[in-house]
Order: sequence, then C-alpha cells, then structure tokens
Amino acid sequence: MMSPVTSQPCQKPSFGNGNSVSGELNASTPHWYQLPVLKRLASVCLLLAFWQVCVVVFSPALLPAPTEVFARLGSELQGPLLYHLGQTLLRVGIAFSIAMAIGIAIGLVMGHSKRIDDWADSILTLMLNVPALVTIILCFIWFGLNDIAAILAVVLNKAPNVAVTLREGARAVDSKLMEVAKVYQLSPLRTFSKVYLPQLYPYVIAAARGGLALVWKIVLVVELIGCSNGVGFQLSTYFQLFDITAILAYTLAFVSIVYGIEALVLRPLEKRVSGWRQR
Amino acid sequence: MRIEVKQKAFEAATPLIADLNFSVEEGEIVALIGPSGAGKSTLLNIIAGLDTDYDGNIADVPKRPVGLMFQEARLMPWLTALENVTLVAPASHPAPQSEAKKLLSLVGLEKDINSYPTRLSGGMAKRLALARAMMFNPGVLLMDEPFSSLDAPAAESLRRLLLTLKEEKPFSIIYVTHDLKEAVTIADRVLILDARPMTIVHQEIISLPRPRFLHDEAVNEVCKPLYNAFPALLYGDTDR
Repeated sequence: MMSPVTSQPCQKPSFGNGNSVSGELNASTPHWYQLPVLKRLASVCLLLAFWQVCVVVFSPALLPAPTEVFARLGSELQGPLLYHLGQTLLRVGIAFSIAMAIGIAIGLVMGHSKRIDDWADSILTLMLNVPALVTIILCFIWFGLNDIAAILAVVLNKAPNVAVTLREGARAVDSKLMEVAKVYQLSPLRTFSKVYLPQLYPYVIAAARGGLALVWKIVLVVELIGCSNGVGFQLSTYFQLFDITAILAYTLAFVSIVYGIEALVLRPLEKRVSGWRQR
Repeated sequence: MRIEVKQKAFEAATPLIADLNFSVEEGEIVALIGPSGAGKSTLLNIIAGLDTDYDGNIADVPKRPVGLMFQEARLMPWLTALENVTLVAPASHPAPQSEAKKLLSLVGLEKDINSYPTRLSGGMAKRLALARAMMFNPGVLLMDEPFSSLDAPAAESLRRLLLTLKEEKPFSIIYVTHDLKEAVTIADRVLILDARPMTIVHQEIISLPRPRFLHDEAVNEVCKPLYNAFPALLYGDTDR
C-alpha cells in the first residue's frame, strides 16, 4: 500500500510505429463473463451462498443466515440506521479530508527537504507506531467526549500514513523533467500543474484508498468509545444486547457504502489520472 | 552569443572546465567534440542557465530564448504529443494549438498528435522533442548528443530534419557530440575539446557544401588529419 507504481517516464518498450500492433490487441475484446465487474459480483455472491449453506447445514446459534441479515437491514432502514450512518459518514468525510491535507503537506515538505526529514522522521515513526486506541483515549481524556476530539483522534492516526506515502512521492519526482520545465521557462503554475503534480497522482490516490479503509475503521472505534451516535455507537449498543443480526446488518450497510465510494469515486479517478499508462 | 567560462569545479582542487571561451554567430552551427566525461553536458547546463555555480560570463545573449535538447527525449509521459509541444508555448502565444500541429506534421508526427510518448518509438520521441524545442522558438538551440541513441538511418533523417527546420526559422545551434564525423557532417565549425580540465584545443572551420552525408568522401578527408592530430581525444570513449 505504501509504495505505489513508480513512474518510469519514456522507458517503456515501444511498439515500433505503434498503430498496427494496437489494432490487433484491441480486436480481441473479452467475453461478457470475463468483465471484471461481474467477477467481483460473482465472488461476493459465492461468499453469501457459502454462508447461507453453512447456516442451513450446521444451524449455529451465534450466526444468523444472510437472508435474516438482509431482512433486518430492510427493517433498520425504516428506523434510525440512516441517521447513524449519516453521522458516521460525516465524521469519516471530515477526518479523511483533514488527514489527507495535513499528510500531503507534511509528506511533501519532508520529501523535498533532507534537513526537515532528518528532524521529523523519528516523530513520524513514533506517530505511526502509537496504537490507534491510545490516541483515541488520550484525545477523549484531554479534549472531552465531543466531535472535535473524535475527529482529531482519527486525523492523528491517519495523517502519518499519508505523509509517509507522499514523502516517497516527493522523493520520486523526476528532477530531469523538472529541468525541462526550467529550460523551457514554464510559469510556476504550469510547472506545478503539468510537470510536478502528475508525478504525485499515483501516490495521492494510493494514500486516499488506503486512507479511506483505515479512517472508517478508526471512526467506528472512536464512536464506540466516546460518541452518542454513529454506527460505532449503535454497534456497541447491539453488542450489549447480543444482537448479532443487527450488528451484521449495520456492518453490511456501512461496507456497501465504502465499497460504493471506492468503485464510483476512487477507481474512476485513478483511471482518469493514470490513463496514459494503459495506452 | 559569447561564452566565457573561467572555471567550473565540483571539487576545488580539480576544475572540470577552465578558460573555455568561444562565440556563436547568428544562424551558425558549432559542434563541440571531446571525450566522454569531459563535462560537455555541464557546459550546456551552464549555457542554458540550469547551472549558475561557475566563474564566468555568458554575453551577447540573443533576444529569443536558449533552448536545450537533452540526450534523452524527456517528454512528459502523461501528456499527449500535442500537449507536450503546446506545454512550452509562451503564455502570450496567439495560437499555440495550430502552430504545434504544424510543427508535428513538419516532423512527421501528424498521425500521432493524440498519442502518449510511451507509444512512440525512440526516433519518434526525438522528433517530438525536436518539435517541442521548435515551439519554444529558440534563438540558440543547445543539443546534447541528441541522436546518439538512434540507429544510423533514424539519426540521419533527424539531422536532415533539423537543418530543414532551421531554414524555416533560423536559429544558432551548439551541437555536442563525441563523433567527429557527425560533427563535420552537421557543423559550420568544429571545436575539439580536451578533458580535465575541459578546454578548446583546436578549431576547424568546415566549408564543405551542403547537403553533406556521414559517409561522404569529403567528410572523411576533413576528418583524417584531425584523427591523426588528436587520436586520444577523438577515438571513442577510452578512459585515458
């Protein structure tokens, strides 16, 4: 997760004069059942089927069938689920944005300045290794059981990871391409947007994808410990009631949404900014 | 343009360049030739303004800017051929798109304007880099062994293309190479350089008629006495 594809400009093997070969490659379009979307869907369906069969065969006391979970999800959707889901997503969104912004800034500064990197590296390593639970507990003790403490705890957990990834990105910036920008007297804005930033996109996206997965998990823990709403709070309630069906229903709702963000936002974004690699 | 480098050193004890002075007239092609590792690329970086840490002076700078074609094409892989060319257009340029398209067809890439550099062959990438340099409209174009990685026919056609482009919109060229024949084929004047420290040991004015080709007998005739006079400097990359 930490080391995305490093860019190697202009060094791919060329296809001679290009055109003829590509035509042949594109000619063999995959069959419909080879589409990646269907493969993804099929694997999820297989998992659900396996789960259902297990429940039918072994009828375990502490594992409800997927049909039961879906039914519960339906009924919860009429109830408070949407409200708690909204609260959690709000926290995830805010914490994610702040962590990305701070992490990117710190990472770039450390990647470009050896001196600052020498000074800050051990602190960064420390931050990376403090358990999430410790930061969460300390934030709640120091700042009280409120949303600011909750979001701060998440940011403190996530920003170091982003910084490490972007530091690698800054170090990988190709000085030869920056020289081209200098020789051809590009304006600072143009140099930044057309020469510098495109080299960082793979790292930003890697940090975002890893970040989303990490942030929502930490947010749930934060809510479980110190909030009075949100999915994490609901999970702790159902834990006390030993209501496994409800716990799974909430999990399902939340995971679907995160999956949707990944599929509808992050993956298309990645495709757009790294489209040149595939062509 | 007048280039005077009194001294350039990475370590104080051993200067890389010492007392190197020469000038380039308008529209002239000057070839610099010398052993590898002599510091030719460093000299070009100084002239291009990439390296300012030296003792000396670049005077009579032309109004139009100084362009540099690197040894590698150095294209932006995330930009299409057309975008790579328009990238260097000055902000005040009235119609960068149409000029870039014209340049791309001049260098024979009219079918590839929307291709990404990763899809271009080595020769095509160099043509694209040349089109980009032309878009910059340089008064002096510095070239650092620009065609050394290409096979002989591709290099030959690019040298001819370069001279055609130069006729369209005249500019001076400082052409660095380690191949004497190539230097004699392309240049109006050849400067032979010594290494450690780099300095000019000989100047040869080439008045052969154009077009010249690498294997012309006349080119050979010019080269022979030079090879005899400076065998150590001209015979390849021997580490003396």
